[in-house]
Amino acid sequence: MSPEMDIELSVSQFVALHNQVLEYSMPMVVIVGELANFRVSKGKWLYFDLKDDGAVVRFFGTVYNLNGPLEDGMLLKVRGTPRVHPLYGFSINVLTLQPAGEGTIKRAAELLQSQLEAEGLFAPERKRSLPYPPGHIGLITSKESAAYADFMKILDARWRGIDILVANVQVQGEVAPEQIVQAINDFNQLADPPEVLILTRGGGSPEDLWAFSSEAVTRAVAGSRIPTLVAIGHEIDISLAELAADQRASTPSNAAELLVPDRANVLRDLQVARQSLGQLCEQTFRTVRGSVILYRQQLMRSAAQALTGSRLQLKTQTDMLRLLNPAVILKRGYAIVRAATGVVVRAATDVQPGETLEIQFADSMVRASVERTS
Amino acid sequence: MAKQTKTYHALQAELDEVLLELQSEGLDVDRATELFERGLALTGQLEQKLTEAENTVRDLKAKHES
Repeated sequence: MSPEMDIELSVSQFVALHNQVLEYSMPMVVIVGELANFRVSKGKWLYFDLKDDGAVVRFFGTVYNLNGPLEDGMLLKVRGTPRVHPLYGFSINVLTLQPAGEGTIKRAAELLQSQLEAEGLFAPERKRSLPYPPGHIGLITSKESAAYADFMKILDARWRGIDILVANVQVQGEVAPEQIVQAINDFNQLADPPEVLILTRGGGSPEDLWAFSSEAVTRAVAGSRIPTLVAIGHEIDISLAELAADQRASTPSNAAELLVPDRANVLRDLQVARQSLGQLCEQTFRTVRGSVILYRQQLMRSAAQALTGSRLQLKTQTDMLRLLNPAVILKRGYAIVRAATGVVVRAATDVQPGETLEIQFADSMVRASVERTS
Repeated sequence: MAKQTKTYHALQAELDEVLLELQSEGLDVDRATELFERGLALTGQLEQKLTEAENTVRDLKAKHES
């Protein structure tokens, strides 16, 4: 091209053109590099570089992009938009950033854990007990995952009749933290909220599991008014969300086991209780029947005694009556003396000499007259 | 004598009175004889009632013992 054909631009025009070109050819980039020169300005603005052995690029963002404390040397994955600032030159505006690589992820989690621990988020006193069994639960997981299938299968085998609300979220990747936090908040704001929130996923690489050690998710779990059960299926490290939860389980299946009792056990216990009850009843009846038999025996005895007593008394009285029989007295030699009028004579003064007397013996009688009284 | 329907207890009480009077001093012989006859009648009735009660108890006992 000849010099006469060159287009002349002003500086501002050049910058505008440059930005247009960038927007057209490279609207968004994802760069992985080592963090350097990280600083926060005025508590709001984020400035840092990403570098590797051959080059370094400047980045600009806000504190809202952060998901935990960062240190120089960490490996970061940053998604951003390249642009040329009219005054400050080229930089990439941060959309999202997250730790990359196992080492960094671990380090970031360590830093965040110290910070949140100091704030008291993981304190044992904060842990609430879960209703056992719950009637209404909120499940936050990926519906396509094996974790979801496992959890539901075990839950159904052990217990039925639970109302389950499911929030289908990404459980890994850049958008995961945002979706998980949204789900937690949505459940908390329901008019009739669930009694427990279960946040769960299966195992994976540290990168896959990063969301569950991010600041946003950890704070959301800690701040949930609804008690939380977090089960991130992996063996080695515990994610920060699990530390913040009211209860943690080692796997999604384990979560179901902790959440509800085993129906088989409960039925068996009821069976044993029913047997005991039956036995106790029988025992009680036996005791009562025994008492009734004793009472009847006592009754018989008392009746017999009363009759015997009466008979004895009657005999005594009859004997006494016989003794008092006036006729018996006569047999002994006593006599009854009557006057002519028939009146019984008791003393000499009752009669006059010459009067007729009737003397009655036991079986005979004599008529006599009074000779003399004295 | 007409059949009495007094209770055992009442008959018993009357017998006690008869016996008491029979033992008193200065009792008229005629009255004594009268009382004696009355006493015999009472013991007869009491005897009858007692036997009836004993039979009833025996019957009930047999009925309820299983």
